[in-house]
Amino acid sequence: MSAAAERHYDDAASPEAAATGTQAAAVPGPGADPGARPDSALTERVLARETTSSRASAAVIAAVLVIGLCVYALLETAVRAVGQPPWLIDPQTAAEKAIALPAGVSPLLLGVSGAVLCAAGLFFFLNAVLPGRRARHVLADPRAAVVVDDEVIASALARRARLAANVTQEQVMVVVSRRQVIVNVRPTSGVPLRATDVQAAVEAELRDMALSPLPEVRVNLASSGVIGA
Amino acid sequence: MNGTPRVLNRILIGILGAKLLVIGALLILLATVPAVGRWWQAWSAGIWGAARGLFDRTRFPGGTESWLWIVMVLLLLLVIGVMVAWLAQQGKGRANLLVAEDDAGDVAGNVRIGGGVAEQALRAALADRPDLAGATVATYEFAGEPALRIRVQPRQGVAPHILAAEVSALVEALDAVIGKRTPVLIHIGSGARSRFGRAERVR
Amino acid sequence: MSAPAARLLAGHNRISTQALTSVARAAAAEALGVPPQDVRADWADDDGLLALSLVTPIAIPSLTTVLRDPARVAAFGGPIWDRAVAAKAEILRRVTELSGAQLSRVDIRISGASVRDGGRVR
Repeated sequence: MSAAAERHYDDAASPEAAATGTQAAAVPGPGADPGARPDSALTERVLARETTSSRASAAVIAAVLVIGLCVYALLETAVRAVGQPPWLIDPQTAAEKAIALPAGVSPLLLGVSGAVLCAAGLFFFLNAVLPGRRARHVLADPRAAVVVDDEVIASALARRARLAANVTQEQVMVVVSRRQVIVNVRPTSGVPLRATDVQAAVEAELRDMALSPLPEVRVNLASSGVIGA
Repeated sequence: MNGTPRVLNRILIGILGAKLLVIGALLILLATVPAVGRWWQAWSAGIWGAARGLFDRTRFPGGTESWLWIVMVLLLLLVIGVMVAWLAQQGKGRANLLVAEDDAGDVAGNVRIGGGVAEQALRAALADRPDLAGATVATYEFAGEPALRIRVQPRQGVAPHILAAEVSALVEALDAVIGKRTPVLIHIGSGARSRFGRAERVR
Repeated sequence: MSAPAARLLAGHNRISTQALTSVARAAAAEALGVPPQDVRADWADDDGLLALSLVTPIAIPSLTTVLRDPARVAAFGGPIWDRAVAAKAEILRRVTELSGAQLSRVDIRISGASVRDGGRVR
């Protein structure tokens, strides 16, 4: 804990500096260094954690499943050790039936349970292996690590596109994915609209946002317009 | 920035997934291909025979049961314990302290600044903003260091970079007020809906 | 309190825990700008000396006013860290002076913030 306290914010915090009005670094303007990020290693770790799924939910399901199975096995073992009749199936009988497969069980049941197990196994395996990127982008900021949900980005870009195209909210739909932004605009009938205007506006907004990874913009103008919007 | 063990999660889930896949595939094959059935019966009978021999050899002196059962029970308990510990690690990491130092200044005694200070200060500053639908602040301990997570929910159409710059400026003000720079994560979110789907559609 | 030097009275001065606590809470409240009832004081024995442990909020300027005018921090007495460290010494001095008890240490934990817009100006 003392290591944490060593990083005192010395210059701006001392009363003498404040009294003389030389607040050096207390409040830099927003445009100071938009590309910078604080304290690289820690920030990168935090951002990597925030932009990928932690698989905590799958982990909980897996843990509960295994605990359930183990508790059941414990129950059967305990029941057998005490000498009582087994609850569902006795371990010995279970083993004997297992080695006799596929003889004692209908092939349909076997196949279906196999398929179910395969599906569950695939679920867990894919969860483990796939990267699991969340619908978020990183925004550059000199003081803090910033992550933005794609919905927020899409909402801001839609507003900008709407203003650039001079249409209503219902005529604009923005889709934001990791590397691409697709802007769908339905123009007003009788009012010509150039896709390049909208594209320039959206790209300018994206550049201001300083997102990483910076997505490409594609503007689709619908062929049929909205009448009287 | 919580303490959920991500790599461990993926490893354990992967192992479980692989095992289930193998068992499931085996069952399907047993149901469909007779050759597999014959191979399985021969192979598993051999294993079962070896296991029974092992159980026979390890009986209690003068008893009828093998002590391997006890070993099995202990193993099961161990697995249950490990799973419960694994469960408990998910979502850890909330903390309460921002700054702590012992014997600072002339007088003996430790000085601690709790996370509540930053939380209340930031929440008060973010409370009356018209462009936000909500704001939460929480203290964590990440990589041994205290850290803050600020979650803001902007209204429709708010530009995230302007919002981020303003919140960042508030954080710098907080640095000046507290006297220590804490690592901060700002999450500009849209509420619960952001978890699903890769592409986000918004008007 | 010690008796005047001229007369020596037999007897024994003992300050009740409650009185000590009130003194400590009042000293902390004044040093940190919060009402005394918000301060929690606990006592412990530290090898024969008295150890004081305080849990208290602290008055701070609102962050938005600090953004507009960085000198507000100084107007409140400086950053929280400096104020807490200074408060330690001040509280120890006050408690010792008013009660005569020998304090060995003062632990302070700032548990919360009381955001003031009309600030104290020293």
